[in-house]
Amino acid sequence: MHWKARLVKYWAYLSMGLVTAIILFLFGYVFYQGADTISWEFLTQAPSGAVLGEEGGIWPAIVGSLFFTATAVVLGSIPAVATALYMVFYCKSRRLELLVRMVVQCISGIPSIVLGLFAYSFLVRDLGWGRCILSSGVALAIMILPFIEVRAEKAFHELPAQMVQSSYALGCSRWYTIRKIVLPACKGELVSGIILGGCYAMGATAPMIFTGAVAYAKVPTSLMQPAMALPMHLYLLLAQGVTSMDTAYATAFVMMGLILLSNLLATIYARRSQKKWRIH
Amino acid sequence: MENTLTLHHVSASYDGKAVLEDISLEIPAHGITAIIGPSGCGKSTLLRCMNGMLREEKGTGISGEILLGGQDIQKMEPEQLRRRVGLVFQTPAPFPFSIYRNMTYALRYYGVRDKKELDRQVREKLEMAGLYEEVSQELDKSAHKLSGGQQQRLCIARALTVEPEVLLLDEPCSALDVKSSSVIERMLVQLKERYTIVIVTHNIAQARRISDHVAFLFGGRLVEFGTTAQIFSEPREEQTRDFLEGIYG
Repeated sequence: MHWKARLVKYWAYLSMGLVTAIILFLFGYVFYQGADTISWEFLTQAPSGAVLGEEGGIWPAIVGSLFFTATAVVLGSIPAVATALYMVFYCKSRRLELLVRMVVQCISGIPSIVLGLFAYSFLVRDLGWGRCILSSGVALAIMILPFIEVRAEKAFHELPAQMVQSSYALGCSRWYTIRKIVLPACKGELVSGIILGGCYAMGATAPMIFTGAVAYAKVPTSLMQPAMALPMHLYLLLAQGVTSMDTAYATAFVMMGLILLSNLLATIYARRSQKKWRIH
Repeated sequence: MENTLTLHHVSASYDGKAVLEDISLEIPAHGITAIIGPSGCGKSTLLRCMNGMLREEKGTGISGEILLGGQDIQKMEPEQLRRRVGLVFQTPAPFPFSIYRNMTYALRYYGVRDKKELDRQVREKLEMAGLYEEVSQELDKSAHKLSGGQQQRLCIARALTVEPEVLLLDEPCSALDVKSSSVIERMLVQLKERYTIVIVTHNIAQARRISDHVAFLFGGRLVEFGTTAQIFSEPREEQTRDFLEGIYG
């Protein structure tokens, strides 16, 4: 083998090894630091202590995070998948396609704190929704929309064109084709894209700081209430300094555990569904 | 003549580049018309014009007039047009369902729910495609488990379930072996009693064996149209003769 080719090969192997090692170390470090504090009480109790979070648990933050994530996923994935369907199956003008693509890219370029600012001034203040899960959910939904749209569009594009056209050729409408062929065939990738989008939303802090996440709240019962969220709680624990470092690590442990688990589920689901709909 | 496709000065372009230029053609009913020509001459594009599929694609332009039984297809609803003009693609594209569900896919869309009627249609159309005997015991099997030739016959049978007047086939045998091809050829000859068939083929011998009329396309233009006997025995145009003699293609 030519020395340059060999160099590239080693470089690729080395990079892969290095990246894997860093990620494993990161996870290992957080899990190691947090593992001691994790207990049944920590997972199921509300935070307490003179400095909040020093004692007690994170139950309201876990539930709050799930509320924020679910709201963002519902509000974000519906327009995202619909946009992708429009781009692939309805849009006939190249220019319009380019324009929509540009808009989606622009959205993905908006810094998440700016989304937070927008949601705060427009939803919380102007529309009078107040600080609540819904206000944050909208900001998070805008944040994950491009993420899901790109994945959905890719999945639709990868369907064999002739299969879709065969349905049109039978005189079946686009909607029937989408319902009977496209969505079932892409279900795995769509669901996994949406779950990954949810993970992205679960870990984001900036869009919810001013719009719905608070330092302390009970387990939410409605979308119009503010709630605690894991990343926000982690941020506050860190800001409080040394006294709450242990609970901070444990909170990070739980958050990363949730995200890893969701990732895993998404991957397994996509694999299984692909097997069922093997398309060649 | 009813059920006949008539093309008046049809031109088509992709992204401003002309692919078909000024094609006028009358497809006779209840016969097989073969469209032949070298690669890239616009055969498939012409076929896609006939069922309005080209209009759906991005960056395409079509001008001229296409009449189906005297009715302008531009003025018809695309779904209605495609129900009357079926299209089968080059590579078999069965849906990833069972054979039975492939066959009932369009029927259900058109509101046929009665199980007996569905069964009857599935059987009749599979018989027409010469596939029924081979698959009658395994209608629940995934269509993807069939051989390439069987898949293509299933696609033809599926196209017939909506009772089209015209059946368009885009090189239906190009991905198949000789034996499967000859099964499909025999089937098409039988089907022409009931349907008007237009087949695009790069296989000149196939066009000669099964077609009644031949249209020869070159560089997006219709060079010659005539009966199969006339085109093969005494082509009027030099280009046609050269193509048939294998000088290019």
